[in-house]
Amino acid sequence: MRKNIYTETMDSIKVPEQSINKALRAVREKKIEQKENVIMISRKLKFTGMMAASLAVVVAIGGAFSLYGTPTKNDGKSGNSFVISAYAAEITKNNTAKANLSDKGAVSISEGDNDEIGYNTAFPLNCKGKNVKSVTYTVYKGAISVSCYKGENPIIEGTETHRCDNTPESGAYKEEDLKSIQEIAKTESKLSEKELEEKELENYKNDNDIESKIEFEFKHYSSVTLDYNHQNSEGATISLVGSNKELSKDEQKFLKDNKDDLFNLYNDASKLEAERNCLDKLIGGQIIHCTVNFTDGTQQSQDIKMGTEIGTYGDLSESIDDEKIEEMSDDMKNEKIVLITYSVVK
Amino acid sequence: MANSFGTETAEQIIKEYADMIYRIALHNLKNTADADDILQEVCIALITKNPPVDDKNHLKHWLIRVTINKCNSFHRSIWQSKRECIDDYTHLEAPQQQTVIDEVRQLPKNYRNIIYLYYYESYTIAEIAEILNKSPNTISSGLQRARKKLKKLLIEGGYNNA
Repeated sequence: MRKNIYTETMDSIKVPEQSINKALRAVREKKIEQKENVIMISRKLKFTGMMAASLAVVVAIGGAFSLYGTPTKNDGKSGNSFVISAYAAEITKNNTAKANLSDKGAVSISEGDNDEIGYNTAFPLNCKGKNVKSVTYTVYKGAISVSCYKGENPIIEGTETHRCDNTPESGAYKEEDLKSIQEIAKTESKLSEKELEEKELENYKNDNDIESKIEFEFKHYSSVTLDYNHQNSEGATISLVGSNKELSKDEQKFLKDNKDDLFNLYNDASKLEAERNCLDKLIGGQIIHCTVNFTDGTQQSQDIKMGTEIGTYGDLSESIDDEKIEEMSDDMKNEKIVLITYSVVK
Repeated sequence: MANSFGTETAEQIIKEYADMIYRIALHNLKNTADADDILQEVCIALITKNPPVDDKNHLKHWLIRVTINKCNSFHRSIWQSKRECIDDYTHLEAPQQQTVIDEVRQLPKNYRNIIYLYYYESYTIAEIAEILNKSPNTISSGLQRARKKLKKLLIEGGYNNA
């Protein structure tokens, strides 16, 4: 791996010895204080008899779901219609959605346990239409990953798969960790106010503090069905994940080195093509089969294919930064990048 | 108390992660004295909050987030906002490294944390999103933006040679 000036700089930053000693002293003094039962409580939550595992963090909304455009696929009789879009662009026979999803963007590239390269990208597709009840997405390589609060999985129906075990996912937390928290909560909830004040408690939730546990559900699917009105579920992250054994060692190294090219200083036109080629092997050729289920029981489907091409920032269907495409400088708009494309399979 | 760990465990954890906590604090704050304060606060939080120590990844995530949150609280305190800083940033021996840290610190605070977690701690975008409680798209766009800004700064500084 090519070390860069940033990582070298970070390597050189060490906490001074006296600061560590001061911290260790503070810890020892605090431990003594705890033993003598002089405890400061900063209670931010009220215990109830029902409080079990801590509420926690995380789980951002996944996917750049967007609802733009007018329905285009119409059966002409019942008024049923739909259009699939990705990144604010309708995907039609005449229009391809384009996104900047190279490793330097929203696709995470990392190594699995067996050195396989894996990817993880926010699920790109969204459906808008008339009389639509639900949408089913099926993938034939990789998987659709869903992570959410336990019991709040937005998937109505799904076929689970173990196709992708080495993708860059955040791990689920252990059951035994949650149980100990629950035991604490049950014990503490029986204490009187005075007893609580005399005993140090763990804070489970705090405006400025960290939750210590996350109650998470984490699954991989080959096929998922989402309610039309809840495609963009709060609290759930839906991603497209996969790994590829077909990449040679050199290609894997290239993708990893590319990631380590911190400021894109070493990028040039020839590298772009190499990057496109590697990404195409990794993520290109993916077909997402979309089945739209209407309220009258009928269905229509469309296949969306992912590909790669070299384009510019100006070609993007949607800015992924706060900076709008139309407000970009000409230099920026014309800067070449690798694009991920979404097109209708004809 | 359940999950309470001893002084020895706490000290081992502090020695292992002190550099990381200090580096994150330096990314977020104005000077080394403030970074020292954050290190103390995180160490105290470690023994008062008793996070699980068996899962190393989980513990590390916890420490990163506590550190960033403590830095955010630090910024919000009225005293800090009115205080004028007379200290300079970290002084590094190599001038070019000093320039890099100075340039990184010109980025918005959120970008600095993303850069650090992605390039130095090698977390994926999904993991960073979880740690910072943001959506993966926010993280990826922040990363891209930070890179663009730093590229400009570093090219102007002459750091575009392999």
